[in-house]
Amino acid sequence: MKSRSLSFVIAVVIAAGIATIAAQEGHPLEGTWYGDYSTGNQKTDLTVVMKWDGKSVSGLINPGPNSKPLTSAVLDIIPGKPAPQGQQSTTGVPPTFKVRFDVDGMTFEGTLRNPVGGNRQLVGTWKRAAQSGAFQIRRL
Amino acid sequence: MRGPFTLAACLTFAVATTSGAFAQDAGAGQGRAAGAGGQGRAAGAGGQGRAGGQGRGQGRGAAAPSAPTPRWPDGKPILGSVPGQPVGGWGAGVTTLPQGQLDKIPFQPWARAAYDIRQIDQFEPHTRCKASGVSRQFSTPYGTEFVEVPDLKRMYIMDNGGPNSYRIIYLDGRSFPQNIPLTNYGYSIGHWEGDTLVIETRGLNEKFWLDTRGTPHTSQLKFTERLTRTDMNTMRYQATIDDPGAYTAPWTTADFNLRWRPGDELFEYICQQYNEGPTLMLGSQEEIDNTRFFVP
Repeated sequence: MKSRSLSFVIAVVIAAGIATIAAQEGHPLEGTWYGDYSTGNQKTDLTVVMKWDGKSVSGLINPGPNSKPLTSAVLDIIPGKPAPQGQQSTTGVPPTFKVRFDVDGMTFEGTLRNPVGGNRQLVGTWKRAAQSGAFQIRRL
Repeated sequence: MRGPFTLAACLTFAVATTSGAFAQDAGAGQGRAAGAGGQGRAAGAGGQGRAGGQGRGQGRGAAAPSAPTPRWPDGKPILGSVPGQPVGGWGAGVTTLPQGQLDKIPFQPWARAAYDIRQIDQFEPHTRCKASGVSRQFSTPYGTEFVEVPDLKRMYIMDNGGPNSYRIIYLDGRSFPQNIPLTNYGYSIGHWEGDTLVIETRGLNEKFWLDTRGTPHTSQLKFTERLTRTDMNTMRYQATIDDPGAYTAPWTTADFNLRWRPGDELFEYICQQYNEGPTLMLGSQEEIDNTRFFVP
């Protein structure tokens, strides 16, 4: 029991360390994302690695022997509105970041939450033929 | 709250320990007086608060009559303190690289959107004691100190406040190494063009902003700075941003002037430990997201 607690503590410390090191302020999609997608009540783990080369986003899911490359990945930006003159900056409407990527016959479409912050998330829906469901991934 | 700050405090301690050799015991009280790292956007005592404009000692107005540019025996300008005279430093400045010319900056769409969002959330890494390189170093609270070591052909640019760390500028004619590890300060090489020190920096990571306003960059950034001490009290600063990951073309800032502050020198400043206003670090008086184990 003690060793299990110790293992948990070590795992948490390592995870926090990795997450802290990984925090970045560059392109919103760059990095490793982890979460899941659902089919009915069943959830499946999903890891997505995305890279920005200055012109396009590339990447893969589930790195390892069963990884699959992204066949397309697009970031669309819907402009926001700056705060009116003389008002608190927080009264402005931020731009919205819409993301779509295709992989292994599946299409994922979602919206970035906190798109340029360290704790950004991508939340949306996926579909493949007649199947569909929700997904959410968080940038590590 | 305790978890993230405990972790951050450990990391800050590690940084403070490694840079401790450069600290001067010139006033622990100064650090405490600064509150939230001295650079809270809303409060910013002695810092470069957005509401308060640019930090003390920096500005573009007319300078008081000044002595000529000090020089080394070989004729090169001295960019830091003059041997035999009181130590001094450069006041904080360079708070915004676009300087009101946003529409002329060749942002990629995502970079402009990121910049716009940062005007709203103001969640800058530097305000959480993260070392922030190149131009952002020159808006560190309490300014910077240049320590030139001619015998070693290098110069150190010290942050007086904020992360309380330093950047090395190599002046020995070396070239950039292959596969530079990405770091907050990058790898800086300097050379002289007349009286101007030209510093080229590569190997910058994406963990900081280029200025307090949130000008974005990627790890593809090649950053060139031109520093000219035009007289004893004035350092002209200009930067060129070449980053195909965030901009469609290289662009160059207008000139900034840093002001000399005689008597300023490094003092012990432990950014996290002396933070007495964590909510001020977010600028808009917002609370930190406590749902995460770490503070990004």
